[in-house]
Formats: sequence, C-alpha cells, structure tokens
Amino acid sequence: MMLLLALACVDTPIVDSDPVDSPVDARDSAVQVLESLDVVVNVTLDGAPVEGAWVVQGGRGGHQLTDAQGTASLTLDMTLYGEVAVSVSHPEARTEHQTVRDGETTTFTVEMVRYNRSDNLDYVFGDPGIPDVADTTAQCSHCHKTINRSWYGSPHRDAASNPWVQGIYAGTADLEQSACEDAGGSWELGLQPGTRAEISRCYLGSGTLPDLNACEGGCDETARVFGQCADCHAPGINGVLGERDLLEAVGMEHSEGVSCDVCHKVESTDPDSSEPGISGWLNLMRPSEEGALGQEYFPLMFGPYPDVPSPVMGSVARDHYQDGSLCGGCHEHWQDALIPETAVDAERWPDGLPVHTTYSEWQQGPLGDALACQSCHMPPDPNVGNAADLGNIIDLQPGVVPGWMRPAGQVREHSWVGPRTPESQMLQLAAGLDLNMEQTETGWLVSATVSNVGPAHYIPTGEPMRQIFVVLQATCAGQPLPATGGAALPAWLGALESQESGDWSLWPSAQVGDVIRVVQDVGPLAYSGWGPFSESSTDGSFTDKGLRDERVVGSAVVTWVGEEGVILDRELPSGDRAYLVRGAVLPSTVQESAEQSAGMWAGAPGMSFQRVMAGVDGDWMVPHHAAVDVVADNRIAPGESASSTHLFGACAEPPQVQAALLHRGTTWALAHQKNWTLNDSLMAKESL
Amino acid sequence: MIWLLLACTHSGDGVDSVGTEETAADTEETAVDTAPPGRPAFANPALAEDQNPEPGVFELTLSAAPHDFQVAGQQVSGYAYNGQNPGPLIQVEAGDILTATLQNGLENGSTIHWHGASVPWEMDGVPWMIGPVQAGESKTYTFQLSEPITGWYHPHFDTERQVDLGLYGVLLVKDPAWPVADHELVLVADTWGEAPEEGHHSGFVFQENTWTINGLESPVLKVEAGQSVVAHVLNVSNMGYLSLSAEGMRVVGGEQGLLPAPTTPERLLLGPGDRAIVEFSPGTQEIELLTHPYSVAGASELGDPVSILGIHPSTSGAANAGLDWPFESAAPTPDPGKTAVRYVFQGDEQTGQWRINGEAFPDVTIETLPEGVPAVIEVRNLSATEHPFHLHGMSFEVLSVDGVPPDQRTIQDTVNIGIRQTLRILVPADNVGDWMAHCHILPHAEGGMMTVLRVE
Repeated sequence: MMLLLALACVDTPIVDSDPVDSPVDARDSAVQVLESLDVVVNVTLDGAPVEGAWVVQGGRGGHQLTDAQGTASLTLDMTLYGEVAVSVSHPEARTEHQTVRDGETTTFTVEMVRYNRSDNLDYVFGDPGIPDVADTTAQCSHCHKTINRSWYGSPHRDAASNPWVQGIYAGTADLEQSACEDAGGSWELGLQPGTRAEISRCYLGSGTLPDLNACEGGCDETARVFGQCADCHAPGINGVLGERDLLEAVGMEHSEGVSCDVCHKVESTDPDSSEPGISGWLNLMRPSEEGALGQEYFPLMFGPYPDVPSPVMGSVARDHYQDGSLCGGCHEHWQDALIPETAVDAERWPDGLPVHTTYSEWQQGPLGDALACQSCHMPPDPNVGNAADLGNIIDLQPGVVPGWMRPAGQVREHSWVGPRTPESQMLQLAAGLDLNMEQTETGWLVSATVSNVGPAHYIPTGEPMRQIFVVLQATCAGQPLPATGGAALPAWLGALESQESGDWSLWPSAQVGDVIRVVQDVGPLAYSGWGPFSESSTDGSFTDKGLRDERVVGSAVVTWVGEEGVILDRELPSGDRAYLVRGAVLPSTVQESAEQSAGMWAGAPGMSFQRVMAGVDGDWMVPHHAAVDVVADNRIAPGESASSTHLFGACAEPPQVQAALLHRGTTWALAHQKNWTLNDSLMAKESL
Repeated sequence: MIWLLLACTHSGDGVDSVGTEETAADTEETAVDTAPPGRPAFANPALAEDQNPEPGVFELTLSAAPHDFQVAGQQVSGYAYNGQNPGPLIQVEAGDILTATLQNGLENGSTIHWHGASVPWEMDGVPWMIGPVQAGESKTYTFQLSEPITGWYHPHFDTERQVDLGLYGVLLVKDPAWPVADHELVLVADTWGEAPEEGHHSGFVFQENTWTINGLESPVLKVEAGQSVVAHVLNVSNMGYLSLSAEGMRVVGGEQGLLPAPTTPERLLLGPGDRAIVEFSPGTQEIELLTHPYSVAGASELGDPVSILGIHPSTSGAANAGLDWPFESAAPTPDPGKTAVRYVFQGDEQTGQWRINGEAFPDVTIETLPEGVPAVIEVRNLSATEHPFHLHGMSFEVLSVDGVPPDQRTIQDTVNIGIRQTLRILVPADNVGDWMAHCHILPHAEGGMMTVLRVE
C-alpha cells in the first residue's frame, strides 16, 4: 500500500515561498516547479571537517563522498515524494541530516558526533513487540509492522525457546515422571526455561549441561560450563555478552531469541574469530550516551542504509547487513572438544571440529561471488516500500522520521525462508531426484541420483544431525517386491532394535507386522563429500571416509510373537546386522510427510547424506557438544550429485518403483528418546 | 543512457505518422481514421515489401541503423530497421521461405534472432558459435517457416541495449486456413519512460511507465459494431509485463499458432518476449484493452490499469459471435517423468547477478539432448522475481507448473515462471544445434541468466 502511494502520489515541491504574497510574473504565471537543486554539504565530525562521509539524498540513493575539506556536492531530486533532506553517514557516527525546506538555501552544514564505542552492560535490549500490537514506540512492531510480523514466525525468534534446543542443552526429555523413569531417566527439580522457576523435569540422555559439567541427571542450577550455546541461541541476554548460560535467558531473552535489537546492535563482524556468535564473530555495541524524551540511552542501531537519520533509530550504516558475514556469525562454527578430558585430534582437525559450515560452503561455492545469503533467505518483500510501514500513523509523509519510500525489493523479508518455512518450498526446490532401472540376471537394478540443484551451500547444511535420504520401494504386479541388494540406509535412520549377529529370532520389542531388515557390511563406502571427505580437497583428503557400505540382503515380516521368539513370513538371510522396524510409510506428498511421524528406515534400500559427528565413546550422530570427531561427511556440494544402486528381486515385467527424498531435522533415536515429535519433509519424489 | 529526448510534443492531434507509410494487405489498419481527442489513431506497423516475386519465398533487406522517430508523441533517437519502429512487419504463410539480409549500419555488431521460429542453428542470430555481423557488414538469413507463429525479430548481440533502442519487428507466419477478420491488428507493446541512467526503459516491479502500441500511446481503432477484430499482441519490452484484460476478449492463439481451444482468462499475462492472438467482438460499447499493474516480485496488484488500445465502434449494433477458427482440441501430454535437464534460476536484483545452475553465460555447462528423443526439461526458479524462460530453436509443450498440468495442450517458446515455481516442459529435440535458453528479461540475460542446450 505504501508503495502505491509512492507511485501514485508524486508530490512536487513548490519553490515559491508563498503564492499569495509572491508578485505575479507575467512571463510565468504558472507555478514554478523546481525539479532539482544543486547543494553543497559541509560535514564535520566532532567539530572537524571529515573526509569520506557519505552524503546522500534521503530516499534517493547515489551517494557522494566528502573531500578532505569535508565538503561534497549533491544534486537533489526535488520531485521526490516526501521530505527532501540531505542525509550524511559516517561509520563512526550516527547518521545526521539537514532538511531542505526551499530552493534558496544551497549550502548546508551537517555536524556529526562520534558515538561512544564503549559497550554498555547496563543497556537492556529493546522489545521487538508482537504483530498487530503497537502500544508504544519502544516496541519495534510499532513502526516496523511487516518486518515484525515476518520475524515473529521465524526460526530466529525461536532460537532460545525451541524445545529441541532446550532439551539438548539441559539433557531433558519431554516425558512425564513414570515414562521418564521407565526409560531410565531421572525426575528431578530443575529450571523451567525462560523463567528460572524451579520445576520437576525429566533428565534423560545426552545434554550439554550434564555432559560438560559431569553431573548425573540435571544440573540446571549447578553447572558452570555452558558450551557457548547462548552466544547464538540467546544473544539477547542482557549484561555481559557471551559465555552465558542458556537457562539465564528469561522473559524476552528467552521468548524472542535472535531479536531485532540484538541483530541490529552488531557493530562489526570478525570472520577470523574462532568464537561463535556474540562471543567473537559478532561484535555488539550497546549505546551509553544519555538519551532524551524518556529514553534512558540515546538510540544506536546498525543497519544497511546510509539514509536513516531518524533520531528514534540512531542509525549507523554497515555493509554486513547486506552480505554473508553477519550470517556467518552463527552459521559458521568450529569448536574444540567440549566434554572434560576429551580432545580433538589436532592433526586431523587443526582448526577444531567443523560444526556449522554453511557460511564457508556458500563462500567457497559457485554462488559465493554472485549472491548473498540474503538473496535467497531474505528475499525482497515486494509489498513493503518502507521498512517502517507505519500502518498506524499512515498520514505521516515519508521523510526523516518515518523513513522514505524505497524501490520495491530493497526491503527484505525477515522470515528467513528455508527448511523451516515449508510454504517457501525451499526444500522442494533444493534437490533433484532421478531414477534409472535396468534388468539384471537376478532382478531389477535401480539407480537413484540425488542432486544439489538449488542452494549455494551443501545439502543438508546447518545443524549436523540433519539428514537427507532417499528411500526406495518396489512392487511387482501390485505386490511388494523386496530389495535383495544394493545400498541400505544406516542405523540412525531409525529402528526399534538392532542386533549385530545371532539367529535374529529374539526381538523383545517385536509386534506382529513389524519388519526385520538384514544388511551386510561390504567395506568402506566410497564417496566425495565435504572438505577432507571430498575426493580432491585442497587441504588433503582423508583416506578413511568413515561411512560403511552396508548392503541390503533381505527382510521379513513378523507374523507371530511369543516368549520363545518371533516367527517370520520368510527365512532371514545371513548378514552383519538386523534392524527391527515398524510402520514406515513412504509419504507421497509434502503435506503427508509433514503430518506423519518420521519413519524407521534403517536397513531399507536407500542412501543418506549427512555430517557424522562422533562422541568420545565412539557413538555416531551425536549432538555437537558431545563430539570429538567428524568421522564422515557425504553431504552434497552445490551443483553436485550422488548416486546409489538398489537391487530388487525378479519380476516378469518392469516393477513399479517409488522413491522419496526426505529431510530429517535430527536423528530418529534422539527424537525417540526425548519424546519429540519428528516429521520428515518430502523434498522430491520420483517413480518408474 | 539510451533515449535522447529531442523534443516533447504530445500527439494531441491524434494522428501519428510512424510506420504508416505503407499499407498492409491483410493487416490493413492505418492511421487514417479519426480518434478521440488526445488519443492517436491506431496503425499497424508498415508491412515489409517482398523483394522476390517467386511464390512461397519472401525476401527483404533489413537495414539496422540509428534513427530518430516518435514514441508516444516524443521525438527520440534510437535504432530502427529500415527507418521504422517497429521494424517492417514480415507476414508470410506457413511453409514459405524467408530470406532476410541484415545490413548493419550501426556503430557496432548486431544479429537478427527470429524469436519463436524453429530455424537452423546457423540462422538463429546468436553469436555463440558464429560471431555478430560487424558494423558495415551484411549477413543473409534464409530458412523455411513451417509452422504458424506470432513471432518477432530482434538482435541477439548487445541485445539489451539494441532492443531497448527500438530494434525489433514482427514476423507473422499465418495459416491460410485461419478466418479473415474485419480488422487484423499487430500490437507491438513496449514501455518507455525509465530514468535514462537506469539503463533500460521499462518498469520492473510496477508498470509505472508508459506503454505504447506501435509507438503510440493508447491508440484507438475505429470499427463498426458487429465487426471482427483479431490482434497479435507482442510484448517486446526489455522488462515490462503486460497483464491484459478487456471486455469480451477471447484468446485464440499463443506464440505458436492457435490454441487447442479458446480461453477467456481474467488476465492475459505476457512477459517480455511473450505473444498471443486475441479476438474482440465489438458491439455498441467501446472496448478498452487494459494492462494492469503487475509485480514480478509477487507484490499485490496495486494501482489502476491503463488502456493500451481502444476499440471504439462508430455504429450501434450487436457483436458478432466470434470467428470460426479451426481449433483442434488437445489434452496435455502426460509427463513422462524422467527429467533430462534441470535448469535452476538464481539471482538477486540487489546484487544484479543472475545465474542458471550457478553459472553465468558464457561460462556455462552445455547440456546435451540426443536428436529426435523428446526430453523433459525442468526449470526451477529460486530467485525472488519471475522470469520469462525462452528456448531457441524449438517450441516446447508445458507439462506442468508446480506439478499441475495446464488445462489444454500448451505449445510455447517463451513461458513465464513464477517465484519458487517449478516448470516442466517437453522439448522435441528435433532441431540439431546449440540453442540459447534464457530469461527474456534482457538485463537478466545480460547479467548471466542464459545457457546453452545442445541437440545432437
């Protein structure tokens, strides 16, 4: 709507000071219209002329730099809709302005003052507000309505309050007391996230606090080592920045996660820092100058534009809001071993363990020089022409205080579209899935190729426990056609039980209808993945790529369960491992995948792609706080593909083959242990 | 940077002389009728003169040169073929052979690409394997036009600038079985009015600029009630989208001949490079062909539509029932499922970088299709703007958009793909050569959003 105003209501400033009092000029009885005005702008910084300040007409773009005398010349577009003002930006001072009230004054002086570069520990991060509530200008939502609404539903807002984050942090599970204790957990007093109120919680399985502080059960109140989780997940904890306890986050510090004021307090970025988030990479600066009009401190806000001179914002322009370096603060993270008395092999990982490498994946990929993270994940919001889309005070003419109308596309969405915004279809656009089939002497050989066709980074990326995997099923004349060979999905794709060897007749969890899948380990899996797991890493490739080549050898359905064992519908072949699974159904639509529980696919025909982090006891796919090694990483690079082959049994006609490529946010076992709801997301499906 | 405004004289008298020196035989509309005050009379582009008396062969010379002409009443310095903008209207019948000699009178290289025509690769006018026609030099293009098309011709070298300057014309390949309308119009739609320093002259997100039809701003065609009016609409704008509506407008054809059945969409969207054949049946009421504001970034439709053409009856009476077109209903081809080539569009208006599969033309991977084996190409748009995807050398069938097949068989050479949409098309792979596949928003193509599809 505001953009429409910009297009439809082009007000032309009138130069005449007062048409009534002006003498009528017979040569020009019509209104004189001044379309442009050449002005000279003198800029001082702390009283002295300053070179290199940006001088720009507010809302117009096209800056000039001041010379050594602090002077710049600028031609103003006097037909601009809204207030005509000269805006001056300098990296060490809040943006200032001079309003151009007539066409007679052509020389302006803009005095800038360096902002105090001492971070203020007493500053309290601002309230982002909530959509459609605009009680006070102290809330960002009061003016930035659309951006607030978009951020409100974003994963960034959930960074601290996300129950998975909290569960892994404290080592808790979403179980009631009896279920907790049945599962081997302990029911203890702890802290309720976001409130610090004492409540009874279920402590079960791995957790950052118990693992890093060597405590049994929970240690919400006694832990002293916090693993830097809050540096990215709750950067808005007031006071000392960095190295804080995630459970210290209360109120908005917890509920609002990565919020407006925190993100726009980043004065600079340091991609060379080895510390994540606000502990190193992201340097926050909170204002300390005394404020006015009821404000405790004079505002200080960093953002992308050089023409935001509103005193309400106290804006300073920074380029990192338009490139990936801001994002890298939390989406590039390497760490040491965090659990006491464990260490990372420094020869293998001289820079620490790669946990999140999305930033460097993009930077080193084919689009690193073409697109920014924001290009895809913060696309332009075409319906907003002004970041402050003042729906509540729309009568304000664009200008210094409410901001100017910007060309459509400059204001970007703050929802961070990606795998957690399913309506964006980013997952479905990310990958291609292609199948081929040929007949062999013993059956039908199907090859499945997964391609990273869209993203500028590897797939999957981000949280290392994420997986994408392709699953295949076949039918012959309408009946299930079992796989008899080919690649099998690994254990972390989910199983109720697994057994290494034996006659596989005893399955304590088995129910009639369950399936037992048998696989055989035929050696190391060859692949080209990320970094040293690629075939041609510039830093040297690992000879041991970690993953095992496990092949399907057969499966059977449980038809009877008794104390002496189970009866199967067919004899199981020999193999190295067997999995007991239940109820896995291949989803056929995105909607279906979002609604059904993640399936148990261990041992099924397919191929999975993930970074595998290993714990000190050798467990794979552990949360990164517990990792001492990355043992495998076969994720798919931008523009690259990976193929697997799968053998199905004899069928007179070509069998019907269905394949689905799914995205899973964490491991089935962890979600099962913590009692989290786990859904897969269908990325692609294909059939033959 | 491009348009040098020489004078600002609005054509209030309603008569425009651009391109009306010659009168077409079939497309006979000329600017001789009176138009309402303030609106010029409609005129078709002047017909090209066939320099070869042999039946079935159309021969002409197209001299590309700087030229001063009027657009929307303003005198501009641009480029033109044979001193007219739009260039000469080439009108032939399916099966005819076209021989066109480009005489390059520009200060740098140029080519002619026959947009929509399936031609041999060496006649396609792209400098990919054969360089441009240098300044002062000539090249003769000759090929058979076997299928009806509403096509156009334009440079494919220095494309954004040369097309922007007005270097384009219309190529109509007609089916003699088609009915003859009382009025057959050729509407070459372009936009003007962008700030010169922007490097283009058309609107991007919102159509705030002036649309012209054959260089005229909202011309008016005088008709009699009950007459039939058929219009070939061509969007030659570098970036502007037409979102058309008109009372009683019936879409009877696309870029590649007749549709299987006529449609009456609420809006007819024509992106840059796109074309359609529409039919009007004026009765007593005046008809205005409107274009609505359209955002390629997905913004809501805001603002008022503007009329780009008036069809004004001078008599009262009933409208006719529409012409009797030889429609041949056809259902979409079922998607064969196997994807031969996948093109992913990436880019950002803010960085000005546009890519297909992460690559910027000419540093691209050439995908190859075997000759004679129809293949599915999947086009995905990951960018935050829409793109009109254009394939040279072969028309294609749209199989689906986001998995949904069209209502009827849809043959195109330029198709719009929405934000985060997935388009699947069936390419016949029946024309050997290297074929450009690109976005027809010309700054996007210049910015790298172009690749090469090889058929061998």
